[in-house]
Amino acid sequence: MDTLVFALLLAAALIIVFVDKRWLVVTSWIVATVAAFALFFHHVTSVLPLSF
Amino acid sequence: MQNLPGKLGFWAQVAFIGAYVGILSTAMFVFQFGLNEMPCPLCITQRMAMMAASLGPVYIITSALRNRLITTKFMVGLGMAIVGAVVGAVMSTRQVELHIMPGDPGYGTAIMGLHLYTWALITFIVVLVFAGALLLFGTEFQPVAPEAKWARTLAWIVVWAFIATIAINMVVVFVEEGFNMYLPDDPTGYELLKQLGITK
Repeated sequence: MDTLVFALLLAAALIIVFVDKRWLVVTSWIVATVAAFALFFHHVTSVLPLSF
Repeated sequence: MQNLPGKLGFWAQVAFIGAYVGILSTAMFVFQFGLNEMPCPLCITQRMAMMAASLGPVYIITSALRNRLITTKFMVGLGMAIVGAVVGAVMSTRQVELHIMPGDPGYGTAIMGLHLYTWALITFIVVLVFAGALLLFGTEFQPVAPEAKWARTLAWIVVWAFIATIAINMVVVFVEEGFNMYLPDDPTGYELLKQLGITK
């Protein structure tokens, strides 16, 4: 999954450089960022035993 | 000098990308390859957030270099930087809290007393302050691309160095992850090399 998320980020970067369409830039960026956050969420497996 | 704030704004965005290229390269070439410290899954997601935040300035700079930067694009770029930094700050805060208990040695080598995930949190806060400060001035620092050829070439080199950084990270994480769905919580080696029988 990590490789795929980096691929999405790379695709977003190439779209920014080569395609000057704002909706496409924003959409590709949102997809990549949500994928990165979803991957992070997958790794958050337990509640921390902390109390502030 | 004509439109000094615009030119300062341009180079500030270039410096933003250059700084993250340096940070990401140091994490990979010094800590991962040099000191053989395998990045954990949370470290990798923080690298992703740094890249997501940097895509905003990449959008701003490439638009400015093509003389197509309008205020809307400037705002979109800053929005990408802010949201990317918030996402990254959530990730690094989680890792800081994993090791916050007294006596916990932390994960990996510390630099000046702080571990890499703590430094990552600091960089995300810097991004938020940077973007907030620019927004305080409205369009005053909306970037204006330089006319000198060397300056434009330098800006493109920084942009492409950043894109190369993403590509290199993609390849390296594939070697680290192999054909597994996810990285192990505490990686000890390169899974792809083990799966191909190159290492044990």
